[in-house]
Amino acid sequence: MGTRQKLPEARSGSQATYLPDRHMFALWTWADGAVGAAPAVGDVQTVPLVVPTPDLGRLKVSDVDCVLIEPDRLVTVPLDSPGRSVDVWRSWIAGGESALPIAAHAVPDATGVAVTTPEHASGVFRRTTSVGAEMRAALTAKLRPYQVRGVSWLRETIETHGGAVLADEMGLGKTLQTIGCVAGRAEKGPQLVVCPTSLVGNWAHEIARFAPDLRATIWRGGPLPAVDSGTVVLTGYPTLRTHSPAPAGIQWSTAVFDEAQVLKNPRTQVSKAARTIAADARIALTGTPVENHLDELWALLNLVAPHLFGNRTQFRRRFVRPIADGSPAASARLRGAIEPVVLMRKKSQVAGSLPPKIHADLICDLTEEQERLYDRLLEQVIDDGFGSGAQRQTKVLAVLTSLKKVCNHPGLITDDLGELSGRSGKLDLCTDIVANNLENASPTLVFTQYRQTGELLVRHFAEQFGASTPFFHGGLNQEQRADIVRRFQSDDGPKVLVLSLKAGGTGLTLTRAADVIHFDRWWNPAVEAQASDRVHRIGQTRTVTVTTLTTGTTVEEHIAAMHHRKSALSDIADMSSVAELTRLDDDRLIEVLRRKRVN
Amino acid sequence: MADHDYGYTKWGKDWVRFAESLRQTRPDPQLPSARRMVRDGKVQITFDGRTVRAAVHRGRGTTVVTIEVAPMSAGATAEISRQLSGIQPLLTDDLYRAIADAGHPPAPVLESVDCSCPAATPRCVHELAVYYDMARRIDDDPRIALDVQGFFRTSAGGGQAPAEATAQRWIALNSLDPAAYFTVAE
Repeated sequence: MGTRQKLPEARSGSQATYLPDRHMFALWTWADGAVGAAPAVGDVQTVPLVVPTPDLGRLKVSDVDCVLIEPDRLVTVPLDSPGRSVDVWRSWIAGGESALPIAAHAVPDATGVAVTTPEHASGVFRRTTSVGAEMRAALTAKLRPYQVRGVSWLRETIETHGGAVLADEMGLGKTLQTIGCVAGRAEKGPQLVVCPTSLVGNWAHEIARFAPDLRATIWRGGPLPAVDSGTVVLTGYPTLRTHSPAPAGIQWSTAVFDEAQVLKNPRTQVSKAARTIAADARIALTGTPVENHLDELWALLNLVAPHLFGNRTQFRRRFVRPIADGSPAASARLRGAIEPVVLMRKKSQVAGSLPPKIHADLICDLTEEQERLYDRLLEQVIDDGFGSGAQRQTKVLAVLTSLKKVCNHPGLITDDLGELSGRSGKLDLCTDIVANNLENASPTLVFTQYRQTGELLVRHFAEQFGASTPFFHGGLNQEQRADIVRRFQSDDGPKVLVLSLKAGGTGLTLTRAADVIHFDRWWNPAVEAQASDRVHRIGQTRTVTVTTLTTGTTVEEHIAAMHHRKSALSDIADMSSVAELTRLDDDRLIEVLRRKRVN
Repeated sequence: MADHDYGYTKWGKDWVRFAESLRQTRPDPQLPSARRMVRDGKVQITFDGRTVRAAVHRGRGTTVVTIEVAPMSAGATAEISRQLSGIQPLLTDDLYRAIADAGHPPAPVLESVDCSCPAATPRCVHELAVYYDMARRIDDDPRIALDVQGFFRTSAGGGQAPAEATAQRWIALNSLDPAAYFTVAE
């Protein structure tokens, strides 16, 4: 037992504080009775931690310069005079169980009056480590530490509260974390995933890719297929609305609601249908910042854990009104109150675990109108044939172009461009992503190959968001181009910029955006990568998210598959892939272009 | 009252009851001005364990009201701990009812009330204003209702060990010894 006078000099050195939400360690230093500079082992960020006052008489919450590292690195990272907190966590990593000093678990709660208990910190660490080992066997993907924590958090929260809201920022892998949780519950009974129709295909694809042992079945209405343990039924919100009695008759072990902000109004048919689903565990996923939409948040909380939060009126009086009046105490109280069932992490918080660029490859579905048009075009081609010689190449290219346009939007072929929403799975999905980015104040670049598609996007964004979106394309002169770039890079510039892949793909610096969407797929991955690098350049300080939209079952999937084969070789001439297709005989070529039926 | 600005939760309502007793039959002209003082932010409350200290500003003067709240009965403490059972839900009206139905109404009991003003009436407007301000604070955060009765102090030490999965999540900052910050107390 030392006396207080002896403490300051005796306790100088590096400290490690476990951050339970991220499954990472914050490294920082204490010197001469105050927080010192962060150890020089990575990028510095500030984290609120509980630290002693200079006289060591009290503890208070203060912003501390830290370096965040993953558990694997804590053992080997070189630290000057490591303190007890570092030693203790290193021994935990090695399997020991020594008692933690306060510095090791000094994470404050939202209201700043309490600290994470040592039991909680060590319990989370141990459970998350064991979930990590389990996930390495259950999933084909390697989860990042914060994702492993996401899975263990979902489990704990389901166990204690029966439901959970995972509200990580887009790009952090909510789908993958949920699949990890779903895979662990496969033996408990059938599970249900409800998501926007345009994402059903993507869920099927990701489950097949990451958890091949699960049986994913797409349900589009009609009688439900036979379900048992290990089955995951995927369906869209509209199907749930119109066929709600069928899923309501089954006791699900898990019900997942993706993009759950769809259910923000509890009085709508679809929300009512969602509430009738009987499930042992309910998981809501959302990427919108829930704190900005409190009524929406209440609806989600009421869906996943109705017993925890009172009625809507009280929630409004207690939180919504005071927060609208600008009370910081009320928002801290809200964060404290929802903390048990809502996990929200931002890219900036886990940047140390993220590569500088995140790739999100989304598969979207065709609408019925697109399916009909796609098949009709292809039948026409089969009747006409592709011809031979030079004419053949032209013809193949023309067919590819029109099929890809159908994937973008059927109106581009039929010229029926009145109402745009609800006709192209890809456009709807893209609109959701852009809406999400607007909410998060993340400027976004959208690349397309086609001038007409670009114009359609500009018009659609104007109709949906009331924002005027510039279009950077080859038809602009030098002055107009420079003007668009200058305006976009300024702080109050447009929130979305549409670019043609050819004109906007090289040379520009558009680092105000950290989000890129490729609306259609180009043959050569290097061209897409080069376009993505408009934002991933010197001066970019955030994690870049590159989203590609591929329409499932179509020729776009063939293009995406070629990317995987090719990404090692970046210098292939753009057209060689088309030439390759041209060399196929008619039957093989049609086979490539034809829609692959699923189920 | 016609408007339920104060005490719209059952937890806060207990404090409104101190000002607006159910036994009271005649309207008390002091109540509206007490409520106005709260609305205008004339009441500043600080807590010290089970003691509520409030500086009430009215006109030019400031008076100090001191209220001692009785500690919660062991039965009520045990019942509430059982209802909360390790997890940390909002203290809803339903929870209040459940606790009351189990025979342990969580309404506070006041040990003593003292005001520095010279008023000769049994209840002065300052005291009433403090009741309303307590109701307002507790409506915002019902944990205060329990805290001021010493609930968190008694239950932190004693009580059954929490189950493994629901290990206590938070520990109050002021219950930690700064001397144990860098090393574990032996």
